[in-house]
Amino acid sequence: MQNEVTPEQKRRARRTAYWLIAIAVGLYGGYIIYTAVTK
Amino acid sequence: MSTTMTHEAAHHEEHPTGLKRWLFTTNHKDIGTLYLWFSFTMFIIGGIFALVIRAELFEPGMQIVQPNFFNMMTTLHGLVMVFGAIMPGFVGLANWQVPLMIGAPDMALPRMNNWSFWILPFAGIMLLAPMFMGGNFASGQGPNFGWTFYEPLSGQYQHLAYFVFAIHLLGFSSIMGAINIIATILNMRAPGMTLMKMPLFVWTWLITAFLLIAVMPVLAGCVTMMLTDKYFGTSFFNAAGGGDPVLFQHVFWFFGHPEVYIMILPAFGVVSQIIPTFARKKLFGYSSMVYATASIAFLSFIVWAHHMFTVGMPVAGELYFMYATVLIAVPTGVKVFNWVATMWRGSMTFETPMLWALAFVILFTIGGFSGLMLGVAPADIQYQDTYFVVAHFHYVLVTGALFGIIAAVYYWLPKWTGNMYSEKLGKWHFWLSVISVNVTFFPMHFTGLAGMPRRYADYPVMFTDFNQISSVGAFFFGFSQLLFLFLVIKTIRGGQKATAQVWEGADGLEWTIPSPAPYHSFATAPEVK
Repeated sequence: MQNEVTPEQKRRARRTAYWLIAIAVGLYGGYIIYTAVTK
Repeated sequence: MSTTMTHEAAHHEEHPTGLKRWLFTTNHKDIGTLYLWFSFTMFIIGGIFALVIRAELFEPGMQIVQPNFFNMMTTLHGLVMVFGAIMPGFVGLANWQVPLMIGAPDMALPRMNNWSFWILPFAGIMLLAPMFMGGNFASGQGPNFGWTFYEPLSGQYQHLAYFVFAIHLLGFSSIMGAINIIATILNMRAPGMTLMKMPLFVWTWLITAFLLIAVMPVLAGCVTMMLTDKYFGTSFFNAAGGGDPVLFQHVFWFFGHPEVYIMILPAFGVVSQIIPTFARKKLFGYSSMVYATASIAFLSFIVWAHHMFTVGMPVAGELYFMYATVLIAVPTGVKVFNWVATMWRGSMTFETPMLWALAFVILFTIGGFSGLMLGVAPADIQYQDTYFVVAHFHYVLVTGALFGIIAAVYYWLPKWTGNMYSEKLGKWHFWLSVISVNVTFFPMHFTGLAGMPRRYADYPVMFTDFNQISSVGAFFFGFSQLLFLFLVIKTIRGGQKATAQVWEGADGLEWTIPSPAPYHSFATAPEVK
């Protein structure tokens, strides 16, 4: 039997990914807005 | 029992074959292999660009290409090597090794993993395609403004949208790769594998992935602003509209400096795996290695303006960035000390991976020292944009990052293929490479100190001798890599069978599974004590 990933592991991995995506998108927008208002 | 085992073993090896296997795969080993072959292909393409540069610089005057084509070669060589060869090379190693080293059955987000990879070839095509546009190949239609794509020059490039889209795709792929690595390491470790028990390669990749998530959006923001400046009437970097070209350099290097560490930290991890194996001792100062890596990552965010001392910043700014930069020598010194201390009184043997790792320690340190020289603001005003800088970052990125990837391939190739590579060929590859790489790049220190500027297609006659030495070395180095290709293909096709442990001194979960690593590894979750 293959060592299956548990539903709990899947859920935690997805939650980590959503957080990281939010951070990346936030940084992307944040850097542009920061540059626009401070230049 | 044995029937059941055989049945299970067969089940483990089930996978689609042919093109479908590679297009639709969600298996970390397959995706790792794809990344590594993509990286090698781009390494060859970027290498050809480098040889065009070195051929043109063999003699003063213009012999082979037009000046604009030369500019395109320097630009694309840098971009292809950084984004196409080194970064995907390390992501390939991470894909193969991180799940094996933490006892996970696969990456946490396997479908996203497939997507991360398959974006890359299209991004590469987008980047290189303008070379062939406009019907006049020899005049150089591709990006021709240097790999740092400084404004306002890059803003005048006619195919800027292609370039911006390519960079966006590359960044998108890197961010998704980084998310996957973090999600895997934080959630998929085997029972008992606490953070401070993780192999150093996993640690360095965890920190690298955080760096990627922090700075790839900066790069994306930077190219988005270039795009809106050119096509949508904004003036972020356009002085005529109230913008500032120097601002571009700040934004770019806020990405660019951590990027340097993104390319070197995983190599630190590789070396920290290899040296203990062949010194047959535990890594000296494990926790200090982890903290040093984290310190280097933190410092990498606060030193960016040392790349732009000559733009005319206040003296206080120069002093700050100078001191912060030389501070990086402290955690880096901790690492070099620990590698040497690991070897101290070890039962060392010098198989090919160890040779590459040792060359890494010595030659990367040379690159580190020339980096310190460049970090000293008043001295940097002399060195800025000379071949001294080219020598410095090639010692860091070729004998550092690239040697790290090659060392890793030799180290783990028997685990991946199930066959031992030829030590004789490996040693030939090593010695040819390590001699020729120094013949190529060491003289650049001298041409730089004598004042030869980088990125020029022509030079005064006084620089000829050193340039000829560099060019001869570059061709030897380039062609030596074909030996590596031959060795890898030969090992994939057959050879002496590798044991599960492969190396006598190897320690870690990846060495507990058979060689070659089964398609689905860790049938039962391993216990780490």
